Amino acid sequence: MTEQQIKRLLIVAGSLFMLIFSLAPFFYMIATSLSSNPYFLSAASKLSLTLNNYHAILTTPSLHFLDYLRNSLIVSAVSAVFTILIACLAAYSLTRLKIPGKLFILFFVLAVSMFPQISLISYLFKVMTEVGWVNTYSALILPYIAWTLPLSLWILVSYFNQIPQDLDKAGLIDGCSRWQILRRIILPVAAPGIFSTTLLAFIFAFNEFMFALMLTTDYHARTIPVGIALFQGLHGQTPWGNIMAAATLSTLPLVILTLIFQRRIIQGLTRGALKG
Amino acid sequence: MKLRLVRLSKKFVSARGSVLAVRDIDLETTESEFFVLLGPSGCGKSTVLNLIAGLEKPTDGEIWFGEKLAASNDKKVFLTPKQRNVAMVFQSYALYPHMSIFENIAFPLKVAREGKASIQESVSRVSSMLGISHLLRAKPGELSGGQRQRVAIGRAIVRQPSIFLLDEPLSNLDAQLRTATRMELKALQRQLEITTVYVTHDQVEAMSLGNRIALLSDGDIVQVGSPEELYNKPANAFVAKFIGSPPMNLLKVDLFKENDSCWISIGRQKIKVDGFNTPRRLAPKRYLLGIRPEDIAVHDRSEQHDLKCQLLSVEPLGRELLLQVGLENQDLTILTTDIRYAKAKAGINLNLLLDLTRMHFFEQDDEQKVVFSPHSNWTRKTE
Repeated sequence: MTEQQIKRLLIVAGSLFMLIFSLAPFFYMIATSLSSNPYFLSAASKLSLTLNNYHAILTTPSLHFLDYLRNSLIVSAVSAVFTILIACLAAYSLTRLKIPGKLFILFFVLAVSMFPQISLISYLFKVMTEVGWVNTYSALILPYIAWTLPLSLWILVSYFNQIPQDLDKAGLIDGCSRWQILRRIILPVAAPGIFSTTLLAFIFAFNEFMFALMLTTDYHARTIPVGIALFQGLHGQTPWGNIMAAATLSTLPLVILTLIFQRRIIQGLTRGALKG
Repeated sequence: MKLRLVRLSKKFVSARGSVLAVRDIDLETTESEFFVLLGPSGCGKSTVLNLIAGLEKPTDGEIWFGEKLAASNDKKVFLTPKQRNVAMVFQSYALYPHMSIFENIAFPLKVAREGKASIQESVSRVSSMLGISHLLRAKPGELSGGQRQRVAIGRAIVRQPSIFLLDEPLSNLDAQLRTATRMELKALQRQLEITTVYVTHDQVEAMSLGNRIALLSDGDIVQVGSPEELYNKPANAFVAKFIGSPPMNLLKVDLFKENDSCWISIGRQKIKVDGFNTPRRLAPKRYLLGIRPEDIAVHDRSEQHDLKCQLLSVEPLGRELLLQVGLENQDLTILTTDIRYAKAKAGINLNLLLDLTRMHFFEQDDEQKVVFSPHSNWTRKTE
């Protein structure tokens, strides 16, 4: 075997390992959700395919799966949109305007995001109880915005920094106000970065568990991660089939969003602004 | 429109201290003049352009657009670029990458809320003038450098700007395209008759384009004048070295008088510089002698006024040869059409004849001001 072949073999073997390592849980999840017996790996049972689990979670009112899914989608979407709106404005001012102490602001924001969630939760619970927001969307949306904002801001600042300042100058010369420059030039040029950051913020909010666990009490506001964790079967045993089916369904929105936006995310839109 | 800068200064303050990028500049252009700001990088020429455009606020001084005050810190006046109605072409072109060429050119008109029909008409007029009508649907990313450059110019001239500003617009083009575009730009400016301020570090560009040139160094104007003035009557040694290619030679020489005639000595060699056009009135002391490479003749005969030197290297430029010679431990560049020296070996001895009517003398101090320059004939010497 030549060196070339060994190299190629190692690359293929490594990729395969990574692929299996990453996808095995998903495969297990999907397989369990489709099998009638959740313990299908044990020797005694035989594998039989069924859609019963999916049917159950979609039609059993007491499981509230669709409620959880709706709550999750609304909460995540609203917090992602607001996060990005704020982050875009902040990133534009931090990269374009003459603001004293820019770096301090950025690092302060980063420092704030370093607080572990657990240190905030008791305070948040108390506040939300006081204002009577426990088990409402607002109780989740507000902390989510605060929680995803630092990361979104940092990503967008680095993205906006890559957009040549000459474009702003050209906009000013062409008669734009600062608002018009942001709306008509910077935002369209930064669109791929904004889309991917929005997606990231959405995923962050969609996956969040602890705030959702503490600040919601039932299906009126409870989100998917908590909802699935608290699924209860009859007689107290864990309904693995239902859990896996719900988990599979709740990955769908993320997969669909990624597929929709992937082309916009990959597109290198800044190409052609400059000479290169 | 006339542009006037009065004692204009710009100071940049950062955490590491402040830099005076532009200091006390006074300038006035004439109506529809092509005015060039020339200088090495970091001399403040782009800052001056940004100040004129309204992209930077002056620290001190005033900017006048005709009879209208555009910026003054004392009088708390600052017009935005929009109010000044300036157009600008950037070195990077700064085209909007997400818009088509049509939208790029139409953008200033759209922002100004012009009607669709008139935008359509203006864009097609400008694009046919620049020969880019067939590109209107493309995105900037699909265009070559020269085409992008045209689009940038088109976007600038599509409305009627009061002043046209260009920031090194040609420096991203390759050499051939640059020469061609230079000519077109000059013709375009004549046709539009818009006062133009052009920033460049390339003296060839400045000489060929400008009605007048302001040479800047370190935030100061060193000299303002027509290309011929800067070439023939440099105000100091900096101008002399900056204008002209290859640059003017500067030799340390001692001027002295002997038997009622004027001599200069370079190291151990000396030549008599008496005659009609010679620096008789200068005090005898050490000066910098400026002489252009094309004003030195080289030959192998030995005559009275000759300087002896050693050939260091030969650089063929096609029609001409560039000789580097060592003269009494000083380097000297000579431009000659005598192609016999193309194959000459380094180290051989040569005799030089300086054109004594083309000598400049500069003080040998920090300012290196000119104390003598040949002002009898104004045209560049032809070989």
